[in-house]
Amino acid sequence: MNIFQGLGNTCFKASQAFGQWVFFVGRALFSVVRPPIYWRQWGKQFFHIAFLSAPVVGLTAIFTGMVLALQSYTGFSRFSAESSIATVVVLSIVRELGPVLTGLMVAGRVGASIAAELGSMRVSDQISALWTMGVSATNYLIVPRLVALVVGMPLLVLCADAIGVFGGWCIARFVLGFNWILYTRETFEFLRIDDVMSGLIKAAVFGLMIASISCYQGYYARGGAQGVGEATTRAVVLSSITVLLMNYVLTSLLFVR
Amino acid sequence: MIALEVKNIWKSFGSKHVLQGVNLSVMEGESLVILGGSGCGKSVLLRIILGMLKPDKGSIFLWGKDISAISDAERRALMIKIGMLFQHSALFDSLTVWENIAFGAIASKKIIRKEGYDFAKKFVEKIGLDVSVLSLFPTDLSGGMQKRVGLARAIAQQPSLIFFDEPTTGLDPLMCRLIDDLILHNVRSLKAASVTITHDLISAKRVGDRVAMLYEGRILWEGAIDHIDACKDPYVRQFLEARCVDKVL
Repeated sequence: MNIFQGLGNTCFKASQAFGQWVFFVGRALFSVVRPPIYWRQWGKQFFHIAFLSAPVVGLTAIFTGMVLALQSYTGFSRFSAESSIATVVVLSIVRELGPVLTGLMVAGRVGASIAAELGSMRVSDQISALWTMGVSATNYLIVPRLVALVVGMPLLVLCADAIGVFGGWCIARFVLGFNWILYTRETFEFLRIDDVMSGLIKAAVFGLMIASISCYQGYYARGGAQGVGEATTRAVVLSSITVLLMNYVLTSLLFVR
Repeated sequence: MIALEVKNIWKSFGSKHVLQGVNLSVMEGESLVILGGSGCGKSVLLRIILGMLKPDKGSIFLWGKDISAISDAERRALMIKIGMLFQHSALFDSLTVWENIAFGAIASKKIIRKEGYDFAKKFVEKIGLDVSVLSLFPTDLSGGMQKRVGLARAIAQQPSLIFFDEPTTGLDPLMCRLIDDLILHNVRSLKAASVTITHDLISAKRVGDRVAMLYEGRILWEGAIDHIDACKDPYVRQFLEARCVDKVL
């Protein structure tokens, strides 16, 4: 096979996989409102995906907020613009860092777990067992994870925003010696509801992307333990890249007018 | 009435022709064994019968309904009348034994979750396991116990047609005998039809009324289980006598 055949083959397989993914997402979205709805699974997945991700997201946010305050101070003090630190910290976190870092952390933690779990179920015939029992794998396995991520991600981003801003506030108050009342007032002075909402919209889209890519990779995993491993790696890499790509697309749609 | 009818099924993967015009039928209450060597297309045939794979040509009829011409909801309703024991049991490893056994009944709303434990208890007793296993997870069980729980799950919805995919593979002779006896007993008490896919001749003779020998994607021989020893077909003879030869006929 020459290089052009190889390239053509790869492109063909990639477009085939993309088309299959589009159908997979469409079917899952349609199934959200189509019974049967497995409420218990919805709750279980929400707990595992959203609630248990809160500590890692919180830790990421607090350190990011702290570093941001320190770096802003180092840079802004050179031209006596320390008063802008609060605004820079809050806008950076709420608009960009909160959603993106939460997306990346969740893609790593949850994306890997979803792909590995569904992949193991696929190669050990558990998904076939669902089929033989007349249970829709889409309704039982995919929809609960999709809903948990689309609903859970904005909630996690809200937490990340609050914790990140608090991290910056702590550094300003206890390390840099800022007046905390003034810093708090400056934090909220230029923050608009649109800034928060844009972050939440991004979060929901990232949630949809992470869930659909990870579920797709796991659901169509092939080839035993090695296949599950490869599917898991693909899920994390593709989810992370898609988060960054969609962040650019959404930023250009939401902020550039 | 015919429970299952397989009509002229063809299936290829690339240049490999796995099934080449398979015809089979199973009457209600009858037990058919599909015998064949490794890689002869038994599992592909089973997946096509269950609707997990689409055939290139041919049709599958379950109680007279062509499964390729029914809606998703109709298929799911039909599946409730079917039980399946997978080769490696395929128990849901995130659920306990009782949740596995009661899964189908809860999903189809025959029972509510609160009744699941007592529901599963009846079936665990039927397969000769202690009720203490009900709260364990599948990974806590031995291969033989997993197979028995898989059997309990397969019969839990009182199916009219049960499929067994290599039910005795990987088990010791005593456990094989036990699984065969449990299959026989439970299938008869349900008055269900069954299709067992195996390459274990001893097991086939225990559980089958009729046998179909699959070879190179075709049914090579079909008849009553008592008549297989008298079969003159060279491949069937080779299979029965487990002769090692340079070339498989």
